[in-house]
Order: sequence, then C-alpha cells, then structure tokens
Amino acid sequence: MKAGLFVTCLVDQFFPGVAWASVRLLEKAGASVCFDPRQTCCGQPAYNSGFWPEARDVGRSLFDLFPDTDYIVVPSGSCAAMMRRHLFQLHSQAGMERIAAFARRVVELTDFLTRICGRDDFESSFVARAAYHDSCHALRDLQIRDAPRRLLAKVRGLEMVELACADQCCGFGGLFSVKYPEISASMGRDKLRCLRETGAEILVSSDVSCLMHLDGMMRKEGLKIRTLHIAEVLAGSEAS
Amino acid sequence: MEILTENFAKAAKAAVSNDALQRAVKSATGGLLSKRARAVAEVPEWESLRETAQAIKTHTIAHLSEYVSRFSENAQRRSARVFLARDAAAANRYVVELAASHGVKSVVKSKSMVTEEIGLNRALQREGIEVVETDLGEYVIQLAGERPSHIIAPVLHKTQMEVAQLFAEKLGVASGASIESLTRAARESLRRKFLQAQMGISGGNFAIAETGSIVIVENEGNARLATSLPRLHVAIIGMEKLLPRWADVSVFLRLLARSATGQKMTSYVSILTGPKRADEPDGPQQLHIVLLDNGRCAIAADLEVREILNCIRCGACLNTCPVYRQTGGHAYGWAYPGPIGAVFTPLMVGLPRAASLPFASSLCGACESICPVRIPIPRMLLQLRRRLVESEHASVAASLAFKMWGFAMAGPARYRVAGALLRRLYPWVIRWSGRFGLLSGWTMFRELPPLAPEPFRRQWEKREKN
Repeated sequence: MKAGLFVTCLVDQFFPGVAWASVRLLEKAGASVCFDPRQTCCGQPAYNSGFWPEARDVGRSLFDLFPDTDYIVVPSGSCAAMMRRHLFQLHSQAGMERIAAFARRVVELTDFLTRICGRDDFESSFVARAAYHDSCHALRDLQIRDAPRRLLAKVRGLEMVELACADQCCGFGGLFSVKYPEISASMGRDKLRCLRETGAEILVSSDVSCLMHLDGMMRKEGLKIRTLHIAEVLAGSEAS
Repeated sequence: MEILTENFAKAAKAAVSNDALQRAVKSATGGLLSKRARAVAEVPEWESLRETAQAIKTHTIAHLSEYVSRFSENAQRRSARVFLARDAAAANRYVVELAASHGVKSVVKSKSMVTEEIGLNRALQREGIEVVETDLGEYVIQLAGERPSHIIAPVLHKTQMEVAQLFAEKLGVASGASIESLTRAARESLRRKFLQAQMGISGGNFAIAETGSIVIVENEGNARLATSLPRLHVAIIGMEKLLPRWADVSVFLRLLARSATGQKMTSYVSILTGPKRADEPDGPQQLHIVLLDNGRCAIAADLEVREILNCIRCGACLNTCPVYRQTGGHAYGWAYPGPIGAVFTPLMVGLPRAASLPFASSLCGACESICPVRIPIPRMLLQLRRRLVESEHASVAASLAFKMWGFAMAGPARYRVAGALLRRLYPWVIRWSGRFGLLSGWTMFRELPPLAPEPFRRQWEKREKN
C-alpha cells in the first residue's frame, strides 16, 4: 500500500519530528511512504478567516498531489478535515469530481492506522503518565474519538488518565487566538486547570496547533508539562 | 433593543477578567449541560428525533409564507386576531395602540426573547403603561435594570448573593435571604400584578399552522396566568416558530425540554387556540397574535444561512460554547448571545455593525453537535466571515497577513524562499512580536514555538539523496 504523507505547514516548519514519527509508524504498518515536495498548505488558515480567494488559490495545487498513492495521510485532524470536508465550499460545481476523488483519499493519521491498516499496537514504549486532548476538528468534524485512545492504550509504560474536559476546545482556533487573545487564553487556562488536576506529565493530541497554543501558554506561565503529538508517542521508545 | 454589538471585543475582555461572572456562568452552564446529558441519554432515538425535527423545520422555513397564511386563517377561524408585523416598529405600534384603545394601564409579561428583540417594554412604558416581567429570572433582570444574558436563563450571570442584595434594596427583603424567601417575595409582589393587569403579553415557542394554536412551555406557571387572567392576551411570535402540523409538536416538545433544562417535559405546556369561548369559564376575551417578520423573510430567502431560522431557542449551544462560557451573554450586545447569536444577530442588525460576532468562535463545532435541530452553525460563521472580508470589513493587519500568506504558499518555490526568510527573521520576530498587532495577540499570553533548524522537506530531500 502506498501512502502519501501530507506534511502540514506547521509540522514542516516547526515540528518536523512529528512528520518523521509519522513516517516510522506508516512504515511499521506496512505502507510505503512518499512525500510530495510540491505541497504547501491546505488553505485552512485563510478559509477559516474569510479569505476564500486566497484559500482557493493556495488549495488549487492540492489536487495534483500524490497522483499514484491510495491514501493521503495527514498527521492533523484539522488539516485533514479541511481537505476531506471543506474544500468543496471553495470551488464551483465544475471541479467537484476531481475534488471528491482527492478528498476521498485524505485520511487523518490515527484513523488511517486503526481503520485502514487495522493496527492499534505498534509495540512502542513510553514511560509516562499522559492525558489525551481531543482536537475539535478530529473529534467533531471527522468523528475520531476512539482511534487515538486505542492506540495510546497499547503503548508500554504509558499510564493514560482521562482529561475531564478532553472534548472541550483548548482555545486556539487559528485567527481567533490572536483576534480575541483574552478569550482564547481564558479557554486555555480552563484546559490547563483540568490538565493539572490529572497529574499528567505529558499532554498528547493529534493536532500540533492545539499543542502549540497550550505549550506556549505553559512556557509563559512556567508550567512543566510536556506536549507531544500522538505520532511521537506511538513511534517513541522513551522514558520521560 | 439597543444594539451594542460593536462593543464585543471590549465587553468580552472585561467579562473574562470578572471572576464573579466567570464563576456564575461556568457553574450554571455546567449544571445545565450535565442535566441535559442525562436527559438525552434516556432517549435511544435521540438522533432520529433530531433528524425528524431538522427536516420539519427546514421544510417549514422553505415554505414560510405558505405556513404564515395557513396559520393566520386557522387562528382567525378560532376568533384570534392575527397581525403580520413587518418590523419591530410595526409590532410595537400595534401593541401600543391596542393597549391605548382598551385603556390598559398595566401589563404582565411572560418570558419572551422576541419582545426583547423589538424593545416592546420600552415602547409601552413610553406611553405610561406599567410593564411587569413575571418570569422570575426576567423579574430579577427588570428590577436590576439589566438585559437577559441567556436565552432560557436570563439571570444566569448573577449569583444568589447578588440577587439577595437586589431584593433587599428593591423589595425590602431581609438581606442575605434564602432562595425560598426570595422567590416568596417575588411571588407575593407578582400575584398582585397578575390580578391588576388588563393585558397579558407572551411569546410563543411554536405556532401550529394546521390548527392556529400557539404553544408555550414554562416552569413557573406565570405564562399560564399571564395568558388567562387579563382580559387581553397578546402573543408576539417570530415567524420561524411555525410548525405545519399538530403532530409535529410532540417531536419538538421532547427535544426542547431535554436540550434546554434537561427535563423530560417542562412543568407547564400550554396550547392556546383562540380566546375564551362562550362555554368556557375563563380565559382572555381577546387573543391577538403578532407574527413578526423583522428580517426573517429575508433570511429565509438567503440559502447559505436560512437554516439559522430552524432554531428553537433551547440555549444548549450557549451552554456548550467555550466562548460564551468565558464571556457570558451581555458581551454579544443584543437579544441573542452565544453561537446562535453570532450568526442570527449579524443577519438581523446588519453584518457591518456586528462584524465582531462571526469571528467570536474557535470553530470548535460544539454548538452544531449539541443542537437539537442540527443547525450547522460553524459553516454559517464561515459564510459570514467570507462576506465580511468580501465587503472589505477585515482589519488591515489580517488582510495584509493573508495577502502575504497567499503569496508565500502559492507554489513550492515561493514556500521554500518564505521558509528560508522566516528562519532569518525569526529571532527578530520573537524580539519585536509585542509591537505587531496580530503577533502581539499571540505573545500576550503565549511564547512563540521554536522554529526547526531545517524544515521537514529539506531533511527528507537529504534522506532521499543518501
């Protein structure tokens, strides 16, 4: 099975380790992984902010990516949701078939590993007490709830604690986080309060954008809970 | 109602740092949410109920004018008088003139968001008519001279202590009184008002086209008193509250109470069809139904957003919205707060005046997933954002940022150069971030993430070469 890895712009520029961890997991699951250097961004930042012509222009080249792979795997619920469910909004009726053919191939990483590859145990180990935060778009746009939990449950040494407010938004929201920073940070503080109550040493999610926001807040406030993308935990063999 | 939507950013900021408000809103919405969750779990067919309700509403809104005339005919057949009000002014004028022609001095009202929308109380008071809110929450709001901050729990932003203090000042109740003595004080004062009033004003949760009936749900019995004791009953109802058939009501009653308060059914459900008949012992001599347009027909014709009229005003989206839970309802600046308000208000008061509201969301989707009629609120927020940008209401900073972003992301060569440039400039970006509009929004509360020394694509190329 050939899998194209869509490396989101945040992962590419800030968190390349997440992409490498995804590569290792996909290979372990038996896929041959390729990367298409023509990709840039899925267009979500502009789309969510109302700048649709800009989003459309950037997104136009998406449909040519990975011409000969069965799946396009995305280590982000948010970008996967954009490409699976929202690109339709941007384009006229004429190109629909092409968009549908592309969108059908887009799969979020944990969904891909569990549903398409049928695996939940990657024989990894990671010694820590961990909490999982649902990314809103993975959870509500793509209905992914159990996959990450099943995967994490199989990691040796990892003690999972359920976050009381796991499904509540962390407050990031793209442009929202800088347009209404006070509201966004207040949402973040609520999330961090729940997190502290669990006694978790690491916070795991399937979207680096949520983690970037929460980690940024924790560093500002001097809180020492590590944030990790789920791929890094699943591909890891590490004691925290 | 006075429109204060332009003030959202400032009001929200103040709300976030108001600890009492934060505690009150989070604890009340949290309570409502957990009651709702329990009530919904008892109904195995919940999802199919939602689907049915969505279909009924969508059909009704698509045939709105047809159902308006069917309702009017059937209500008139039962001796109700129906007035179609084009806008707030027409509705208020009708009620004021009716009151004047019957020599009304005193009015009792049951809870109604639509009368908040049109500012009916003020219109009546201007004519020297006394207006008394009889829903306990609304009564508190009226005593305090405030606005409701939630669709179903108008006084949700206040703590018990604050209410006790208000009652001590206004009603002479001993300070620090218990909830029981506070409600007793309200009850005693309201009972007299019910008996004095010549006109009762209500809203309506549903209006049934097939029978010309209006349905009112409530828990305090005040709506039943207000609609049956005074000799005149005026019901003001937004056109979107129409349902085609009598049989549809059961679907919505089940969804509404469970979504709103977590009850199986509200304590009172009144279905009113016409005024008192000759063989009936009580009831109003006249029933006037004001069906309010006030922009609703225009929304019904706007295909991208018309489903917002499917709303049954349960308030569940407010309770679950992480933004509403931080800001409370007043920040939204008009009658309808929370996710539903973030879409409905701009459509009603005009997008430019309420330009902040469609952006007051992290697009987390909690509203859509809790909505009993499955309104795709995030999708509509996106449409409104697009309209705002198209009509050049985006900020200069955001426009510039997305122009630059669009340029940098258009193709791998530019992306590569932009990445290299970012690596050069990033130390300065971090140092000066406090000075730039959007970036300072980030660094006010968070550190910027460290850039990777090399982007992934560069590392991948190297691996491919080896």
